[in-house]
Parts: sequence; structure tokens; C-alpha cells
Amino acid sequence: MDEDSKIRQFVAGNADALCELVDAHRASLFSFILHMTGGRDDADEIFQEVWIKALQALPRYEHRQRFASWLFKIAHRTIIDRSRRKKNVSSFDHGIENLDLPHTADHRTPFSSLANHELGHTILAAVNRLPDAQKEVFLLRMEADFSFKEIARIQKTSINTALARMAYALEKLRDQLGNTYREMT
Amino acid sequence: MKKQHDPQQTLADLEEDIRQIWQAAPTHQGPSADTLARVHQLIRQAAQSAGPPSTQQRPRMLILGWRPVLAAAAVLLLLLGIARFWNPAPRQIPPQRELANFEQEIIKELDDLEIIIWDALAELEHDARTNDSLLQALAMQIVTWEDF
Repeated sequence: MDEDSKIRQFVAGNADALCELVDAHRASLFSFILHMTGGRDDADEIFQEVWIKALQALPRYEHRQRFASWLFKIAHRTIIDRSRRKKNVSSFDHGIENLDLPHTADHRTPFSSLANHELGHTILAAVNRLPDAQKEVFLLRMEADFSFKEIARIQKTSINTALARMAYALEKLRDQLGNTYREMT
Repeated sequence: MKKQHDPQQTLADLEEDIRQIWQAAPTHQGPSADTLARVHQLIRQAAQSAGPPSTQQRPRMLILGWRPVLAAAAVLLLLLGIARFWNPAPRQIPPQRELANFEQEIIKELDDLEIIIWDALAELEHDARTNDSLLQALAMQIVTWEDF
């Protein structure tokens, strides 16, 4: 069953259909939120808030767009609203300290060595040093594999700007990763 | 073999390299079990309330729903009648208004044009993912277009 059918089924009263969508998008959505906000508690709250907003907006959902694109647009706005409310636009200062790396097998890549753990901290620190807009483009590409067109729509900007933000982000990451980048590639 | 830093490295190459590092690092997590359970619970509650209304409720809601609409329509008709009584002459559109309308039309045309260009660029970008030189050429074209 495709995503559009699941949404129609949910609107008709079938809760399981939307629960399946939650499970399908939970990893990428949560990872995006977590890296944009920097703390697990905040990320859990925002994850829940995004789905509450999605529930309220689903009857008006336009089936022309991809569900993931629509969902991440809600996440984008929720993160901005929340950071405005907290008057804490940037989370760079506390991001890494509060961000525990996973110690379970419940993630996409196996966490099996100290080298990987250090690599995780290195790249997270580098990503967290990016300006918010660049970091968001990077995460939308890496976590959700969005096209630049979709990213441009989420950020309400041009494709050119999204491309440029990605280019700046990648160059900064390459420079900040230094030896790690050269060894890995 | 280790790759040397290449100043001419394309965006697509660089993205692929960084993606490998990102995916190799244990940076991916899911929400807590409590959060996930709460979201599922909220969905089930919403689904129950979003189901089709019972046959007993429907006529009552319909009657209540039409009353304010009828009242609003009556007030609107009354206001229109008063407006016509006080200003019977046909309204002239001032030149400024025509200019504003023309400006709106131009803006709409430009918006439509931008959407067409966006779609074309997105297709190009999709094709260009496997073609680095085309991606760079595309980026240059976009810069030129935005400058314009």
C-alpha cells in the first residue's frame, strides 16, 4: 500500500495506516530533528509536536507532493518556531555535550568500534559548527535523501541557494574533518 | 588507495565522500519508546474522532451549521443594499488601481515562469547527479539566472 492510500485510510478512520507511516519515517525524521536541536529531550518533544501538527493538517494534505517532503516542512517550521520561543536560534554551544551517541543496535549503521564512536563525535562536531541553514540542507540530503528542489521548497528558497548551501557545508566539513576525511576516502 | 585533496573535486564527488563518512558514523537514532508510544496513542485517538459521524449526530450538526451561514448571508445582503443606496453610481477604477492590477498580473506571470524553471532545473539536477560536469554547469547557469 503506498503512502497516499495510507493517508486516505487514516482520514477514513484507520489508525494503523498512519502508525505505519510514523514507523517508516521515525528514524530519518527524528535524526533530522535531533541534529537540528542538539538534545534528546527536545528532539522527543519536537518529534511528538510534529506528528500532532501533521494529524491536525492531514485532512488538508495535498496528495500531489511527497508525504516525507510535507512532513519535513512541518518539522522545519516547528524547529524554527520553537527556537524563536526559546530565543535560542543556535544550538551549537550545547549540541555535542548533550547528544549521546547510540549504544544499541537500533540504528542504521553498526556501532562496533571505538574508531566509529570517535568518528561519530568528529563528524557531529563538524556538522554542528555549520550555520543552521547549511546544516539543515546537509541533514535533509543525508537523512531523508531529498532532492534540492524539495529542500528549496522546505526552506522556501531557490534551488540555487539550496545548492550553494550544500556546497558550502560540504567544503567546510571536508576542511574540518581533515585527516579523517582523507583516511576514509 | 587514499585520495588526495583535489581543489577541482566536484560537488557530487564530495557529497558522496561525506555521505560515506556520515553513514559510517553512529549518528543515527530513533525517538524514545515512550515518545513513539504517545504518538501512536494520539493517532488512535485522532482516528476515532475522525471517523464518520453517526446517523443520529449528523442532522443535528447540519441544522446548527446552517444557522450562522443564513444569518451571515442576511447581514451581507443588508449591507450590500445599504451600500447601493448610498452609492448608486458605478464605481470608477482609478488609474492607480489599474496599475496595481497590472503589477499583480506581471508578478503572477513571473511566479508561473519561476515554477516552470524550477521544474526544469529539478529534472536537470536529477539527471546531473550522476554527471558531475553537468551539475557544475547547472550550478553556474542557476547563478546566472538568479543574477538576472
